[in-house]
Amino acid sequence: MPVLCCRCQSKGYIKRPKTSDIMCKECFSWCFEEEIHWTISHAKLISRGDKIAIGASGGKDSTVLAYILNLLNKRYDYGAELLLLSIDEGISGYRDDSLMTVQRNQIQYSLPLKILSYQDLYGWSMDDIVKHIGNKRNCTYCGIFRRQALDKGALLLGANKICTGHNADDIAETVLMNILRGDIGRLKRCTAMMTGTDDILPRFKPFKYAYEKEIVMYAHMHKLDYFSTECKYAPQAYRGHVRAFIKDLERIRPRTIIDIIASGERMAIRSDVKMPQKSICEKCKCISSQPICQACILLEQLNSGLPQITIKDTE
Amino acid sequence: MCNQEEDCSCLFTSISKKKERISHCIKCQSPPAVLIRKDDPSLCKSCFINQCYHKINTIFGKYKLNSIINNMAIAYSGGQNSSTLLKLILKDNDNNGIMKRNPNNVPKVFHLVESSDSQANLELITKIMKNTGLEYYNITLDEITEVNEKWTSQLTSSSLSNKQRYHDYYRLNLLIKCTKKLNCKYLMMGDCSNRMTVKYLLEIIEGRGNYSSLQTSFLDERYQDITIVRPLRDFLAKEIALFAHFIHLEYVTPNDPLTSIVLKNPNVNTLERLTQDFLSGLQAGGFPSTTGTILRTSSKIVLENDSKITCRFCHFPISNTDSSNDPDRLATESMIHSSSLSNPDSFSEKTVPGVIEKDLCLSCSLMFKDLSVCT
Repeated sequence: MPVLCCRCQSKGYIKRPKTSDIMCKECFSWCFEEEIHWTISHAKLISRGDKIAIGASGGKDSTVLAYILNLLNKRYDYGAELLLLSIDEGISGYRDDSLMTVQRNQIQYSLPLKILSYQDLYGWSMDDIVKHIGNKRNCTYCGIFRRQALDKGALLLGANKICTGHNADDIAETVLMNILRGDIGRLKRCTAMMTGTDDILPRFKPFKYAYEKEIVMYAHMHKLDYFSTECKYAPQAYRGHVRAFIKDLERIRPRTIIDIIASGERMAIRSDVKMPQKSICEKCKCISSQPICQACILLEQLNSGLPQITIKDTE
Repeated sequence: MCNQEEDCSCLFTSISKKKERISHCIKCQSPPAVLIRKDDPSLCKSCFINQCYHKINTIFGKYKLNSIINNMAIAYSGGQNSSTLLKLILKDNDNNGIMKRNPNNVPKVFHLVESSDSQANLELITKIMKNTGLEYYNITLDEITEVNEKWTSQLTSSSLSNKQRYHDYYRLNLLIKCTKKLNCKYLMMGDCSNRMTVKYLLEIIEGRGNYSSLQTSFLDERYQDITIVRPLRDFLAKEIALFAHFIHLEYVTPNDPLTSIVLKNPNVNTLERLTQDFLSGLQAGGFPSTTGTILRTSSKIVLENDSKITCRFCHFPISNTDSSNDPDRLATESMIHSSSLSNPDSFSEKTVPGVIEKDLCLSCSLMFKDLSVCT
């Protein structure tokens, strides 16, 4: 006996990972889109007249994000202007292929695209950095540089908000990692829907409550073009442990991912615990919690040819 | 060339450090018998035993447990942890034990008899409690309540997880009732740091993250008139196992029906077992400070918007619904919205469990709902 769709009673096609309901294609697609819209409206993420830079990497999250934001912007008339912003880290064989995907997305969705590269901004590509410092800790450089590059790119485009494609699985992983490593400063803000609201460029995550499985299902359903190869420099052993753990939890109890995020949202830090303070970097005038921001420190080490100085020693 | 030399020297340094660590006991220079963690110094057998006694003495002094121990009820299950706890408290080897300093401070020991306890185990437990010289009790379920637990034959991972969580909380509630029956103000349990870490992660996974720091604190005051004390909080499971082995402790292996089910069926797993495997894998696989870091993190997380209403089952405070206006805290509401999108007709039926939520928190409501579906 075939199982029927729980909404329209037609033939069932998939079982939703999030709620374990049987659905057909159209109902699943509609529910997924409505949930993103619910998140955007309830968290007041988009205002009329906003100029939003979507961080596009060519992967499944950012591709689906660009598609859905474009769709919802037309359907519900947010009145926002959408732009694509890509960062070229300079990883041969990986980023150039994914940037081709972003360029195809630009044509498919008719959105303006801006590509910034580490080589142009910092004078170093990731291939050069890895040659210089080896495979250890290169992700630290890449993550710090990319975050600042996104800010600079958004400023160049004249955008007032940045949108990233972090999904529920990513945020649950981050909550658990911060607890496992005792990172109190990050634990308080890693579940924020919109971070940096007091800054010039706030960032928000419309996919905060969307499961990774559903994003992949949606992408396949609409035959979206995305790039799925992993970065060749990124072992990320610790996050791999937590990711495997979360996948196992999801198999037993699907709503675990949302429950982890709910726990993280309600955590409050004791007032006597020392928290990092925000200030302005003396060199590049960007936001930093230290007199000189991390990107400038790393860049100075690279330029002076002393990469063996660790960040801890500098601090 | 320079990089290679750096790598070589790093390897050389780590090798020499390892050799230095294994060579001798850090206190008396004799061959070591105990290597608890990578970061900890190596100790011989007697120095390790003395360190355990010293650690428990420090804990008692720090939290002033000596002055309240006459109001203490020690929950004894017969297992390794509670047996070690009893041994550390008594320490009748010499005249410097905790008990002998204050002859007026005498705690009580009790064992909660469960239906799965075998007669041989019960006799051994009673014998051990009698040998302590303390006032001891065997309390059966009939004396406290008349609830009959039945394990259903349905073997799915989610139902087993819910049963395990239900059984844990139910047993804790029973222990609280036993403590009240004995007219004591404090309940002492033998939870070690590994077990508390697993429970903490389980609470986060089930959505009680902001309140689960109550459970990992040394003094747990969720129940208004009974305080739960966990003196073995700073002991790793490995330390307890080694101590029990060196002292030749007598203890029983409790018969847990849920554990039997999981062991017999390789396809079935529970959240608790999954969390245990994950944390022990991290601890053994290159991150030895995992347990300590989690406990330290939990001690820095406090209650926010402290509401006075507590859940009837787990006794954690129930979250305020006012926080739903916060745009950063929409996880629970988004889940409800997802369910309503999927079931527009039957969503009104799902509102009926809201009646249960008057007394219970959301996690307990979900647990009871899942259990009722299984039964």
